[in-house]
Amino acid sequence: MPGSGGQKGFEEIARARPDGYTIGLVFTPQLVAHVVSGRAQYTLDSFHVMGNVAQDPGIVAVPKDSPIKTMGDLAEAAKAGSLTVAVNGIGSDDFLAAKQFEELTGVTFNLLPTKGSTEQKAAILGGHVDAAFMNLSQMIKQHNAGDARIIALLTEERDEHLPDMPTAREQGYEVLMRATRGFVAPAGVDTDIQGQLDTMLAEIMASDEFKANAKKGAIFLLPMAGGDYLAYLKELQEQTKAVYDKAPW
Amino acid sequence: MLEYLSIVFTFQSLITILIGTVAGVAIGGMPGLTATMAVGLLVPFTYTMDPTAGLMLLGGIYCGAMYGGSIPAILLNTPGTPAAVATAIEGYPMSRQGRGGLALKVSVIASFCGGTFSAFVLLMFAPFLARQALAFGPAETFLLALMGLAGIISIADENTSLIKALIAGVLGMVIAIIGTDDMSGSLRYTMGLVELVDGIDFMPALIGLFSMIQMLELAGQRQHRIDTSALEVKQKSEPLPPGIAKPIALGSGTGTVIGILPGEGATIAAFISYNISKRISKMKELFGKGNPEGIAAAEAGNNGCVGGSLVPTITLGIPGNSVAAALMGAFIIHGMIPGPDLFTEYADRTYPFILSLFVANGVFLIVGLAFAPYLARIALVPPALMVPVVSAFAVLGSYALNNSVFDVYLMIAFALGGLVLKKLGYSLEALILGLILGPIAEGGFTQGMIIGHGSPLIFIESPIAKAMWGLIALLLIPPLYSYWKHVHKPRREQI
Repeated sequence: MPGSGGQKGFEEIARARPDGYTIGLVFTPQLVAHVVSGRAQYTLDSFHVMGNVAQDPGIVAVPKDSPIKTMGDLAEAAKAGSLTVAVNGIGSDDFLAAKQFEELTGVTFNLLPTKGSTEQKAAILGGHVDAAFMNLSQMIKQHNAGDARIIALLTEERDEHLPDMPTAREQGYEVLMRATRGFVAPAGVDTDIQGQLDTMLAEIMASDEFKANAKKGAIFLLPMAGGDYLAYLKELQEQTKAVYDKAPW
Repeated sequence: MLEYLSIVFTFQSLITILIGTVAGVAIGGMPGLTATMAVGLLVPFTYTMDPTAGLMLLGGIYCGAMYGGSIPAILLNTPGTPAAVATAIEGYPMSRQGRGGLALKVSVIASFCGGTFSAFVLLMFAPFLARQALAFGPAETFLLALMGLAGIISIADENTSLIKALIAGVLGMVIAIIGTDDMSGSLRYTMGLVELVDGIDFMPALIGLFSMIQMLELAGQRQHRIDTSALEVKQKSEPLPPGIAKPIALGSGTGTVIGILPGEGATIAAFISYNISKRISKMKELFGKGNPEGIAAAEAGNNGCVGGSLVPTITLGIPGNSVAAALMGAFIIHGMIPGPDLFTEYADRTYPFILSLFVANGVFLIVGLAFAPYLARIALVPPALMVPVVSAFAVLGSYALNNSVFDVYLMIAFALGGLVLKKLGYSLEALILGLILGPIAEGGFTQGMIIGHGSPLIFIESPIAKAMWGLIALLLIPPLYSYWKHVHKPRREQI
């Protein structure tokens, strides 16, 4: 299911017949952002959460010849004058991360919503914007090739794919954001079948073949069992709600 | 380079390219089946294939589909892709005159030239050009969409109903407003329907406005009026018209340049090259009545986008359009993340892939030329057979895009509404142009304004922007002047 920040697809899974044959891929924070903004017809209770598969750490990227080299530079530059900052659409992970940073430092960005990471990439590589909040997989090649510069990771820990890159937390800015991608089934699936689905996902995640393929496709795995992922989603929904209540979109 | 050529010219590779290209032509030719969909669906299948062969297959589909869209556009006035709408404007009248065979020949030769030229550019200059294209920002995207929209004027002065063409164009843009506003995230005119959150897909609109309406009109005709005598005698002997090289060269260049720029390029490229070739043609008055020059420019233009769109895709990971984005997915699942690595570490896959595009262009050239006389006879199929078959494909195609019955209703609504508009003399080509380019113009404009911190100066500051304004003026002023003369002359005579 394309587009609409995933909403169409999420609704479809929520409404699907709970026979165990229809399962769906969900991603955060859009899954909960639609609930918080009151746009979704589903809630987290509409799903049986099977577990998480992959993640993509949030990052902050700047054009390659930008004077901004750290999160501190970014905050100062934003205080000195309005910075144009590209995010993936409103309510996306990038948008929420940018809002966190604004909240933390008291600056206001000139936010540029885009239709996706392709436009963000073009804007950064072409120097049309001052910075962009994105995801690691979207920029890691460009960073390594010297076409753009990542200045911080927005995760709790450093990432094995870019071990020298400090996190925003290390630089003194508590901005945390990651995109996750997990599987859910519609709520109301028979408990036996639920168990089978969960086990199946766990087995695939544990297989070496899957790990090797994920590595080849540059997918960053983050296995989480159903219960843990549900707890994560609930917490994320609370955090997103806090952001939304302060500055609704 | 020789070793890469030897990879392409193995039996297995050639068969793969042949299958991909022929399948692509068929997909492009059927209303509702798009190259994006075909490539997207086949990406998982290439997973188990040898990466190089998989990419060749998808590349063949891309090349073939871009050409294939022109076949039904010429024969039935039902463009298989939006990029073939301009082709239909010239191609269908030729078909009606029994010159469909020639129109198909011109289309396939122009497609071949455009495709080959752009593949050559991709092979030789990709990294350099991709860097240049980065200077092209949202403000310039807005101007490019304006250039495309200038095509409305060129559609208009055929029927001299400029006002009606403009109204139809605006109507298209108004319909395009429906959906989520990308800039604020707010919903516009979705009437509480989840189906409308993404806005109106232009494919159901295209199928409804062209394929369905054409079938409704055919069904409504008492007699099928096509000059069949000309088809029997003339088509094989009619040589290529002289002066066809100019629009082909123009289209190839325009298409390649626009293809390199990010965003949905093929439709814009086809319309801009069609429009420019009309301005510089010695046979202006024949445009709209079946001028092969128009077909040549439009087809060279949209096929030029194929190679062009792959330039930023494989060098920077910025796909030039949705098909290129789907192709990029295929590169990624084989571990070939776009960037400089593709030309060093994976050179033994990337270069054979680029070379295979030349073969794909050659394949559809041979297939197209060989089958043109037979395809032209499709126009002779009696409506009693044609109408149900095409209508079934139209419904199927609309549904298959998003597996959505809603899109089928949408297609039918467009067919009914469009039929009324067409009978009233409003141009449906202008409507679809507004529908496709409106959102691109809007996105470019709002993003430009944000980047410019609210100052419209951003739209005239850069040298690229200035040059583009010059081109827009060139496209708009001469036709407006001749329209003005046309409108005012008869009045003076009356006095």
